[in-house]
Amino acid sequence: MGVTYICQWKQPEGQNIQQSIEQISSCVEKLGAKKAGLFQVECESFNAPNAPNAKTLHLIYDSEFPASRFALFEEGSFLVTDVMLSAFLSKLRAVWQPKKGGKIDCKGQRYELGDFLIKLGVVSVGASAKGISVELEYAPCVYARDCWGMMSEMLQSIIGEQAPPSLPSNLQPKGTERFSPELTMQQYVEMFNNIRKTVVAR
Amino acid sequence: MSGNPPPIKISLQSLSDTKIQEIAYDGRETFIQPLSMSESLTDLANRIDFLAENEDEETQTDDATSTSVDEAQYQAKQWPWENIRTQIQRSVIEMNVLTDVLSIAQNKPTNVPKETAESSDSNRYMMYDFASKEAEPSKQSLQMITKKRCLGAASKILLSGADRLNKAKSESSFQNTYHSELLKLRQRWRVRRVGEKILGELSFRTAGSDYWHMGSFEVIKKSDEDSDTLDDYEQNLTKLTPNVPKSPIKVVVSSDLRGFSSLSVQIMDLSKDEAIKSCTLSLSDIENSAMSSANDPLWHRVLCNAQNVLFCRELFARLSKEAVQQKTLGTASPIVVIGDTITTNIFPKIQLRVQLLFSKTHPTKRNPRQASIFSIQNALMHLLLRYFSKRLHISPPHPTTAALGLTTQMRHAAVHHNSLNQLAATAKKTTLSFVDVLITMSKHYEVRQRVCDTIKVLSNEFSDPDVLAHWSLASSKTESSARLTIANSGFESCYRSAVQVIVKPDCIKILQRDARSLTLSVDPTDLHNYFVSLVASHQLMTVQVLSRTLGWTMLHVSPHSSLGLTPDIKNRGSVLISSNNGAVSVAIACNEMIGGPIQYTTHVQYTKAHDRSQLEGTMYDDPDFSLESEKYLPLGGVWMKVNWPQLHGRHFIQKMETLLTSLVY
Amino acid sequence: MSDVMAQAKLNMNFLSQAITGTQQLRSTVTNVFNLLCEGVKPDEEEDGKGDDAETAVTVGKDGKKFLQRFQEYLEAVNKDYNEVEKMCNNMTSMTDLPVLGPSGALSLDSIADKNSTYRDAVLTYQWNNRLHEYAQIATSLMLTNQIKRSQLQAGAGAKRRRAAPPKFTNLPSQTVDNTLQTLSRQLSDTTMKILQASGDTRIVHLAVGRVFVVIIVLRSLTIEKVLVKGLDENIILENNTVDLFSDSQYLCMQKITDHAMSAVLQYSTYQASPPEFPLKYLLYWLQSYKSLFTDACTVCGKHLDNGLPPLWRDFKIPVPCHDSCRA
Repeated sequence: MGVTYICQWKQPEGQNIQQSIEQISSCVEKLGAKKAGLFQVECESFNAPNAPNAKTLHLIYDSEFPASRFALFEEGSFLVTDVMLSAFLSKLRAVWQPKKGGKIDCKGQRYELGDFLIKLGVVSVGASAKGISVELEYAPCVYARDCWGMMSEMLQSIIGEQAPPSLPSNLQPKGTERFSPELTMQQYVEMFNNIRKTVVAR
Repeated sequence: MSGNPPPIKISLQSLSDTKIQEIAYDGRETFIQPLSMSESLTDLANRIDFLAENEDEETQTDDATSTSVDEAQYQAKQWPWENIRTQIQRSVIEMNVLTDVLSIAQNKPTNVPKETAESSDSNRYMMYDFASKEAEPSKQSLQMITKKRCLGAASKILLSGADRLNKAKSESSFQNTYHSELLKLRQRWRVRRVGEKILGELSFRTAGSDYWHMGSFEVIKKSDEDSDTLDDYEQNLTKLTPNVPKSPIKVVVSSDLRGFSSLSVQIMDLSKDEAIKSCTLSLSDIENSAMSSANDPLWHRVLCNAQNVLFCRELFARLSKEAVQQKTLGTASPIVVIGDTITTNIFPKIQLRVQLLFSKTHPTKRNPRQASIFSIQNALMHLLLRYFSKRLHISPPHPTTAALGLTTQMRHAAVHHNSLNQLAATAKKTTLSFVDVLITMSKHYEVRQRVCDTIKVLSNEFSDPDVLAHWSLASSKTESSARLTIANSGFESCYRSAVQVIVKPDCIKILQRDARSLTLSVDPTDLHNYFVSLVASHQLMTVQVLSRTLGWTMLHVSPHSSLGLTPDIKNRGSVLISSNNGAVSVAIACNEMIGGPIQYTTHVQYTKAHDRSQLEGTMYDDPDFSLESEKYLPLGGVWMKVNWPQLHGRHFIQKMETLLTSLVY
Repeated sequence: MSDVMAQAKLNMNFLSQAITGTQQLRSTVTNVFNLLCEGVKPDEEEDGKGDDAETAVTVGKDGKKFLQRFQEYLEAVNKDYNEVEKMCNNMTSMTDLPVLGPSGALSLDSIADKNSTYRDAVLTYQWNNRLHEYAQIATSLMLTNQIKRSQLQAGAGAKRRRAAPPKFTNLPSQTVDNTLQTLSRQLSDTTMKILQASGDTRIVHLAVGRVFVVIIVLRSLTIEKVLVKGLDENIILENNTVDLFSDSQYLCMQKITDHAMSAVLQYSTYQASPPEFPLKYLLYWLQSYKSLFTDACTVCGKHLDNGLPPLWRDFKIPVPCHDSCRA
């Protein structure tokens, strides 16, 4: 489990999603990356209408962690469980109810380059594609700050100018702490929220 | 009783010894009190038959033997004083005889021996005469017959009694040993009573096996008749150690378990059609040393053997089942299962053959030349045991609602957010594929063998640089590594080549000192070629280091220089050096010949001023190396070829040292 | 219990018989020796005849008689010996199972199938016996094959260029431990601990900064194997042994493993160095990897080359450099 950075690819004007995906993947393949299967991330949101102060709960499934389910509260509590979590939540239907249109997922191709893992995904709500996600993972290192130089170099060559200039704050929660999947999931939720917002805004 | 005159006894009263009534066990004697005088008188008086005629005490004694002693004794029973009378009578007879003898001896003293004397004069002579002539012989034979008969009867009674005692004793001891043997059997095997029978089980079910065979056996008490007869199988069993203790227990196992079984794993070289390595695996081999001894009773051996058969069959069944399911596992040909044999080619021309052997007779000693592949033996055994224990030790579900049969690691996988790769790695580790392990191991074994052979060939082929192999102690079933050190004897400090050879099942990885790594195929010629080029480059490197220490200047080095039209040379490395004043240049070429050793050719070039008297005879003009044509002009002058055999030194580097030192002064 | 007693009695019987048999054998053997001590004696009856001419004949005759007696005695010995042998063969029945004593009666427990005490006891005894046996064999083997290769080194060094032969140093365990402790104190940003030690062989665990973990197999101070793994990889197997053979799943760690092995080759071929030098050099070299992810290549100035960080560290001056950038 290494350091992961996730961002949304902002499409240039006049390009549809399909074209953008093709552009990035050709870029990635030019770097020498090999295709290594598909990936999928699903996120389902729940809220508790009966409890006034309750925050939204995101239930995330990531094909990178096939045995686990992640539960993330809006304010930051994080839970790793096994596959029974969704069944458990459906038992708690009285308290936690699925949000309307709260289901969002991200599917796409997985690439490997050295120890890097590059995932290009199409984010879609229901059947309609809403955006493109780019995920970059460097597996051998578990400290985000240490390998940021390498990651930014890699990001430069994949997404060019859209790469962040310095270590994003959401990659280093408490300074030098080890990287954990919690951060990955937070990034996903953030991205999904952003995409939802932009969709609503349109 | 005989005719001899009885001894002279004139005592008239019996000795008043008290009679012993009985002797107690503690040795105390109880006496009958002797009768007092009055008592004995009344006793004697009672015995007198007053009616009987009072016979004269004196009998006619003219003839010494008129009345037989027997008769006298017979009469004695009737008359109380008889005893005394007889004594007196006897003494009278004695006296008479004595007087007769005396009178004869006195009147006629002769020379003749007394006993046979015969006085012929006046009718007086003496002779022996038997007292009773007719009665004795018949009586003696009769007595003998009666005695015989009595003794016969007594002995018959005694014998029958002894017989009965014996029988009872043996019966009880037989019963005894039967139970103690049963107790022993109970200590070693699982037995239980079902109705009248005693049944046991020898399968590996309790250890976690799920093989279909029940492996039950029955314990039977041996009857007297068949206690000594062994059938062929049992005789085979006891052939090696003939003095098996007899036991009153007989075990009956089903007939398919009666036999000798083993699993043979062979690596065959198909081109030569012979087994390179083979091993036979049977439980008894492994257990022999620890479990059984020569004193084991027959039933134990029968059961052990049956268990071994079961073990081999189960292992083979697992292997063949997996082999059928997964046709290829990185092997050169598909895995074929026919009957009791599994075959596959692990490499071209190298076949792995697994065979289940079963015979009713004791297997002959295997060929000692074929060293067994202990690791494979061990690994298969280990795998089966692991499989058993995995079936047996299922960790309880945690929490209780979770699925059964997960290991701790698998349970934690979800919560410890294991990634896809990690999960795949754990899954690979936890699945036990017997065929997979067997094939990888035998592949690795074969490759390692090839590497070993190549190193051996190499060190034999090249006597010049010493090749030293150090096999690492950290090696596993599927990976081992060796460190090769190449050095010239006497010049170790000049240069040493070292490579690490890592042997894997499918490839050979070589790490060099300069941190470049190569992956070679398992083909031994590849490895051989590599080693040859390694030796050649080592020689060149040593020459370079040597020339540097001797003060020469390196002009040109090329590990792979052009060959031209020389078909028998695989590779040529060359070095060009010159002395520090530039007067002499030496060109060395190191040729790797096809199918042969390394050849060295060296040419030397001088300036005219150089004195070459020192090396007279070691150099000659090379006819092949004519500098007639113009294109060689830039080479600058005449090159002489060095005659290697003429130079002093034991090997190439030493000769080189001689050459270089003698060229410079 | 009465069976056991009967058994014991039977055995005692056998024993006493055997003892008497042995005594008998001894007495007959003594007879033989007595006879031999006395040697050839001229017969008493023929003592009177002191005929010089006939002495040879009488001696021959005496010798014959002597031989005859000797043969008789020997036959007696043979007979007694056979007797004793027979006894010996009878005396076997007690030793076939480990002597469990009263705990042997555990097997009579009717609920033995549920309660495995008896089985455990038997197994324990067996293992114990085996351990004992193996230990004995091992000791005897080790006593016969002592490694004393270090003596070879005494002869070397006579010639100028002759170096010491490759080292299979036979250092005392204490020295090795001390050396390792000293080395671990000298390293910065690197923690070293000994995971397993059995005899001469040690498995050393080395954590280099926040980059990777190294497992080094040492025999004495000779480096046998080096394995580099990522920080989050498992190095302990389920059965609590150290996993020495599965490669790291990360490409860069695999490459570093190869480089480290080459470094071992390089450092251990250095001449005339004290035995701990290869290990010391290797540790310092490994320590230079603590900046693996942070430093860029000193040649091309970039972080990445084909998806890999600057993996190469020179053996003399360990500066970060890409595999493809090094000269």
